[in-house]
Amino acid sequence: MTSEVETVPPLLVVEGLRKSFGAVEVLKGVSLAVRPSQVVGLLGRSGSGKSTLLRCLNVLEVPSAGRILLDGEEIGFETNSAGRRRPLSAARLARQRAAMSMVFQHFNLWPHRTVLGNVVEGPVQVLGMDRAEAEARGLDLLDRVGLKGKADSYPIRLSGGQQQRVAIARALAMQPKIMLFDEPTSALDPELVGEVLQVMLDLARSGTTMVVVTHEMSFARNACDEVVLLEGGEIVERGSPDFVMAQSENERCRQFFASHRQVQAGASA
Amino acid sequence: MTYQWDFSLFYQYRGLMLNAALVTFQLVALSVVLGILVGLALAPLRMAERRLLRYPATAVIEVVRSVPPLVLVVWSYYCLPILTGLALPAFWTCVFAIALYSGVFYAEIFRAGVQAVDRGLVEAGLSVGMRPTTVMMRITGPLAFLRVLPPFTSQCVMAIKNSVLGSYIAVGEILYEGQRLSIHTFRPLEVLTLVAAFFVAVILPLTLTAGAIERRIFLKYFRR
Repeated sequence: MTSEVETVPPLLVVEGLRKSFGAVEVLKGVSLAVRPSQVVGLLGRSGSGKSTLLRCLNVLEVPSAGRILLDGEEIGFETNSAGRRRPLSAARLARQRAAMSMVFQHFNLWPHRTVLGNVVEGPVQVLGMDRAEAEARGLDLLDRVGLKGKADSYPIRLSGGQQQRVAIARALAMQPKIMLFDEPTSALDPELVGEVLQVMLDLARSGTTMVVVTHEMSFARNACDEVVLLEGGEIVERGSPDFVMAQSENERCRQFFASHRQVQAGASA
Repeated sequence: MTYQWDFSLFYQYRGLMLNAALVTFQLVALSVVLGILVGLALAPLRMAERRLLRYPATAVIEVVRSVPPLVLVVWSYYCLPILTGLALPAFWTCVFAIALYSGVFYAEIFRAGVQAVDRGLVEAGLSVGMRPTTVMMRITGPLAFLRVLPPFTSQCVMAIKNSVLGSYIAVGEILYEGQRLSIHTFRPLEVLTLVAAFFVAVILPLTLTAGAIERRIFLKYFRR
């Protein structure tokens, strides 16, 4: 079975990605491959570069070096016939971004649109979908995240957990090839984390390709096919959740998970 | 002192006063609309990343902002024809001068509004594949406008009041005609009180309506 999976070409390929903010190099040459339907968790302390890596994938941060390929197409840059590499036009970059939807830590729902308005905005404005069709599909998606009844509410009337589920529906409405999650539960009150993780777990099980930056170790263990541990802008360990979180011999890796277990023990005590 | 009020002169001179009010409305409507257009044109230039666009726009804004509006009107009327050889009627000189003057303030108001929009909302637009222009039209623009409604209303009120500057260059608006009438009839108390009341009657409903709209918007979109 594993050999069959290995032969499927990766959907997303990251090669030697580097990113500097001024003199500070936040990503120091990161390489990664995500196969279709795979769920990859990016773990690491704050400041390890995991969010920057995710934001580079859809060019919300412009990488300093390296390449990102989605379905074989380079993201954010093109190489012209003279062999010179240059940034894509805004229109072409926008088209690429439409294929990789993002869910943000702070939800970022548009406050002047209803819940349904948030979900249909992308399909109508970007994909040119008929509004009635977009709304019908949007209501289905809201049903899937358990919020069909809130379709006509404005975001400010929703709890954080509900807002994040709407944000997930908004991202799904684009029918993206891959979903990017940037610490989707970090801004939530503890009692609201579960409902968002449940939606993400359902997505993972239904075969959605996902890259998830998270601090939720239980989610990483239960939903991820592969986890990647970053530290200081480099990948220190990668593999199955079980391997990385429990069996790895890597000293930095063991330290990270040991300190995490302590924090969790402290929290539950 | 017992002053004998006499309002009958308004009936006698109603044509003149109505016409003056009409000129004021025209002056206000044209200068406000043009001023907003000037602001919409200047604000993006003022925020542009390219210095070639940003520096000239900043210069225009800072210079115009530093000139008293009356000086701008008078200078435009007397000096611009000498410099350019192009003499506009007093009415249009006044429209353009007030539009330019309020336009630089609109530009700064719009800029403040755009810059106050949460960067995350812009990124959410980009991440569903919107182009930067679509993000501006659908997200940044509307949200910025909702946020700057109070200063925007104040600036509109200022533009309405500034229309009386036309009287200095003999535009037949309500203050100019009112002053002439008060001299002609020796009734400044009635006439100039009417001029003041006219502005209260125009501006007060406007600010009250704007205030009610602001509260509704705030409750609907921004407050838990």
